[in-house]
Amino acid sequence: MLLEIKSLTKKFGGLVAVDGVDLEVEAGTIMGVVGPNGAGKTTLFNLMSGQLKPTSGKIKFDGVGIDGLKPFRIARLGIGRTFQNTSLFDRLPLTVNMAIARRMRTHSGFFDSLVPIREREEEADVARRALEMLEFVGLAGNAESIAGSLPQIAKKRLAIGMALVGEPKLILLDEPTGGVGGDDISGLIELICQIRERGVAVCVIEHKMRMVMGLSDRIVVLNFGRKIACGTPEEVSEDPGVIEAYLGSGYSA
Amino acid sequence: MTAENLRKYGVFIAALVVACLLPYIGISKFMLNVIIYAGIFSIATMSLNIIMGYTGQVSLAQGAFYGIGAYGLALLTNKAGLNFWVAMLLACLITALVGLLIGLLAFRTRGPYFIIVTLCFNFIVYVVIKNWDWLSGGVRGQKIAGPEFFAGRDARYYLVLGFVLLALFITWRLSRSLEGLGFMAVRDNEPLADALGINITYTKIVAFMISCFLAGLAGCLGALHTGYLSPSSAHYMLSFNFIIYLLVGGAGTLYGPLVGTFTVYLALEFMKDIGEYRFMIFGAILILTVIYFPRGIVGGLKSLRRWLKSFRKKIAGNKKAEEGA
Repeated sequence: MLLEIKSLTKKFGGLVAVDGVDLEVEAGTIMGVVGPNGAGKTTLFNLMSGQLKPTSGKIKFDGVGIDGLKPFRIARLGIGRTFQNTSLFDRLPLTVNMAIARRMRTHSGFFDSLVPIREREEEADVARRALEMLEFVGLAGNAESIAGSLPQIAKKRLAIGMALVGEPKLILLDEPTGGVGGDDISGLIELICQIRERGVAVCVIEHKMRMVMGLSDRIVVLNFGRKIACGTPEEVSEDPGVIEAYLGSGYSA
Repeated sequence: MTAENLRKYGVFIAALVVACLLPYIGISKFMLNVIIYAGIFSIATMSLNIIMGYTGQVSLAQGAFYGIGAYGLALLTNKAGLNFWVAMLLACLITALVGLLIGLLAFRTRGPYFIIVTLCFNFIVYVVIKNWDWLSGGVRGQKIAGPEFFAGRDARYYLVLGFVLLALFITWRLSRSLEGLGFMAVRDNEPLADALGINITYTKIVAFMISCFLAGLAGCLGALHTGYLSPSSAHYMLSFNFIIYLLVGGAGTLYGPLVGTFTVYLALEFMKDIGEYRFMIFGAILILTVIYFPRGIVGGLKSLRRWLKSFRKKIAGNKKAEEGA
């Protein structure tokens, strides 16, 4: 199992945002994370990528315990992520954004910058991978634009590319289609499927139920911080607890 | 050399030629002296540029590191009797080491709190140097003797010019290297840099150590050129001066520190006749710069060039459209 979460809990004062969640993600699969607003989905992601430290519980990634590690350590171990508000280096060009995202896989330090022998090789490699990744997410034509000037959909794609360029084994996408219009959504779904084809596991928070049902291999449903269901899309959509809590009694799959 | 390269580096080469010939074009001793000081301070401003302009951490301790470099050099030559050049290198390394220790402490804070911590550190260094008579000579200060070769003003001018070029080279390499990418990532978006696997504390400390090394270097050159050291060479007013030079020149640009230091320092020298009133004029200019050129003179010129380029493109486009029609 690529990712194993055991009775993970996060409390903010009296509020239990994530309450004893168990979860397993298999390598190369897509896990949909759904639940109403405030169910603890983003908190769960923040625990997995180190932005928050768990109150209790264990997270094991690729055989290594990662709970309580700093974000940059977890990123280097192979978990990439995007943020709900599409965080980028707005003032810098796309190529530079990509290069920064690749930086953790390079070794050149300050002295290499003064006498650029090893640096030249690494720079060439970084530039090549940056372009490759821009092509993969469909932004090769905008390589030299400033990230902040991109339209929303391109920003989303760039953020996904930046999470991927460091060659993670798992990426966490926090609402990749938030604020994106109809036609662009199908493109993003295609992109997420292509990520799975590269052998990278994906956890995706999503509100659009039909989309997440079609996309995910497995789905976990959270409500008030608790896991109320987990399984294939069919299993979850027939689960009476889920229908009750999330889909509403009028929904039929 | 291709035409494009010539256009790119033309201004730099022209400035370098003028700089090399400067002592021989009938410049007054007083003027040369002012220019040497401006050069020394521009190195200190470049040191600030690395930590503030490229890494986004506003340090108000550069005056202290300038002083630590200067006093380090004085102690190592006067008290320890080391060779001048060895002492100078050691003094810069010691300054970087102090930067490491202060960085480990100060980078637990961020933003305004970091500024306050660094300012406090500068204040402490100033008070210690002023009062630790045995070590520093207290308010009486101490003499410092450089190698005989640099007794002449012209020789010192070329020495400073050489080190200005070295500091420029370091900034230039950093600004387009993988290490520099980490600096800019930390400056522009810390949480994202963290999520992308960049060790933020480590990056800040590396940047701070490089910055302190250069500030120490400027201090050594200042001590050599003045030939005399007093506690005012570690004064916190220096830190504020460097910030002003950097803001006027343009933080986070290669030539900003150089342009800013020379503009402000020379302008203040020329206005000496009007005494303290010059600071009123100067204050007004500073406010206008910060409001209308938030990226300083160099940043302003850059955007002007970009604007002209797009304007020219637009005109060319219009012409084409007319011809087509």
